[in-house]
Amino acid sequence: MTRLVIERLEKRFGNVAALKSLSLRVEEGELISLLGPSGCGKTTTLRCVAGFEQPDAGEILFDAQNITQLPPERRDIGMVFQNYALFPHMTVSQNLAFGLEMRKVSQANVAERVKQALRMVQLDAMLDRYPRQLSGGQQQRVALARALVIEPRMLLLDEPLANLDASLREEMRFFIRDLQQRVGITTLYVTHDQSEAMVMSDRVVVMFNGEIAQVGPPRDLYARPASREVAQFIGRTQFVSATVLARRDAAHVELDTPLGTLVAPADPALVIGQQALLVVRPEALRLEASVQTGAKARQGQVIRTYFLGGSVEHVLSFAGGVTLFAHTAPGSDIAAGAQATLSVDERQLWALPASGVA
Amino acid sequence: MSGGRRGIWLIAPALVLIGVFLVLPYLNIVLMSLRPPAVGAPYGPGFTTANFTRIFGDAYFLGVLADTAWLGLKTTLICALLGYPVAFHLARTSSRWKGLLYIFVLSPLLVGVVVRSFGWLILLSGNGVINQWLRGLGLIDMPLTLMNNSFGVTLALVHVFLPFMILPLIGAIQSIDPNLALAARSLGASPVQVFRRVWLPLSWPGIQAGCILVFVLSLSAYVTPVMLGGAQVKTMSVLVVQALIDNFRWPAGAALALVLAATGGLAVWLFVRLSRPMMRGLE
Repeated sequence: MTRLVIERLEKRFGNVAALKSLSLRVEEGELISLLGPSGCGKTTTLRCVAGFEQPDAGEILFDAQNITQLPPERRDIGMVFQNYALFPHMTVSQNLAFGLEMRKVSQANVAERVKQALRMVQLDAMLDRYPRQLSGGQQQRVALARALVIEPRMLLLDEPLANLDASLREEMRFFIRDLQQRVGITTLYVTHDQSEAMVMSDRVVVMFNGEIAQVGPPRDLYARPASREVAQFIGRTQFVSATVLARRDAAHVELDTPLGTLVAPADPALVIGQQALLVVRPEALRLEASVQTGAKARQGQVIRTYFLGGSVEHVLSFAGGVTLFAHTAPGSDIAAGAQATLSVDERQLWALPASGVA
Repeated sequence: MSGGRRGIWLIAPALVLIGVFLVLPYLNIVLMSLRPPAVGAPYGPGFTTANFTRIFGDAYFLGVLADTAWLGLKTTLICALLGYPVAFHLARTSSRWKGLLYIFVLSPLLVGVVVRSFGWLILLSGNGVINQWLRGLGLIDMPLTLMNNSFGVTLALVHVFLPFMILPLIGAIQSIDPNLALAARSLGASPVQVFRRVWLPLSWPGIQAGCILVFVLSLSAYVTPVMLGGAQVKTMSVLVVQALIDNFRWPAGAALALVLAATGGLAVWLFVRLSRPMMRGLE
């Protein structure tokens, strides 16, 4: 198994900096997603690792071996493209055999390994089909098998699910993740779909403008985003501006907010008196139809409700001009125009420094 | 179906045009080739196969037929070798000079065949531009024979037919997903192997179309072989014109023309047949 190390990688296209000193480690057998909007440099990073793009500065290492100057054919990688890039003039088995032939594997061995790889992706019946005779999902699995049959040091996936329809995409997420764990291969996965990255990855790298905004396991990114941008990019969220009243302990602060005083987990950098941004996920809020009174009770007016299927989303407006959305179970009898009571699960909040935020 | 019937009316003008101006003349040529020669008339009464037996029994005619086929083959091969790199570049470049490059590629077609051949005469003749330069540089004492031989004819044919190779090739190469080359590299193929295993087989439809076009065109070329080949280079079309115009032997000329056409058709059919394995999976 291979560990990937990227050190201070830089790449410019004309006068646009695609990568600004990017450093990253992918541990043995780990699946890391590069997540970000288009143009954030995630694909450029992948193409540098594949050898399709030569970085202007920095180094790429597979274990101790510096591969920055190696051409792609000598890097021993398996790559899956967004459009699969199966050779249209070759059958499924010829597509799989290609990489083995390039490695001068003996004929008998090629046939055996091709069959094994196709069994792995459950396509052993499609041996003699041409790619155009296969469905999108099947082509996808052939592309995976073709990348894995050569037993590469690293697997690189460039938006492999973007061309599939929604239900197949969900299914393939688990298929790819399961396959990756069975093979135990170190994997770099590029996607712009945050739920895909969350479901599949050991760690997610969020990138904006050629820089890493945050690296961490999916749960950390969701619960403890490092910036407003990361919070917005991952999951549904809303922000409430706040002022730090006091530090409770190393991990918590007391905040003055339009919703009253709240105690929330916080970035350790926050100090007393500082402007903060409170990240409020919809699941941190509970809504009840009955009008309650009490210190923690916050009355709001329901402006609109949307039926989402598994839940109902309500948009509420509160005193002080704050608008928030909260979810209830589909059976709830809260209707637009009514008053409702909001309670906040403070453990699910997260406070960030508001610096540099408009 | 009413839609089908209406369709027939739409293509009727084209059908009539092709029927009257293409099919009927062809049938006339076939008939003419089976007539005996006559003095004072295009052909005599009755039918005969003598015109064909004479061609196939005469080593001279067969030799010219072989020379013509060889000329076509040479021209086609050279066009393919010269045209592929140009087409590859044009298909893949995003340079702002792309439009200009296209004009360069098409330039041989912008000048009429006679004018173009005169241009080659000026360059290639015994005291032409090239020989004068070479002598001026002291590289040769005697002028090189650059024309009135198959070299001059091939050179001029390659020049004019190159666009017919390059244009279909550009189309074929443009339709190839560049990711396929990257996929092949990632699987361990060197650039040479990528060319052999990916670009070449996938551009085969373009190679095939270009080769057929250039081969058929050079087989039937007349003006270029006449002007640059002199008395040394005889091709079938030169013989056809000789028979028709100089000797006024229409049945013999018609038979020669049919043999040339059949040879071309046969060669194309054979080529398509033999390259069928290359086209598998590409439909």
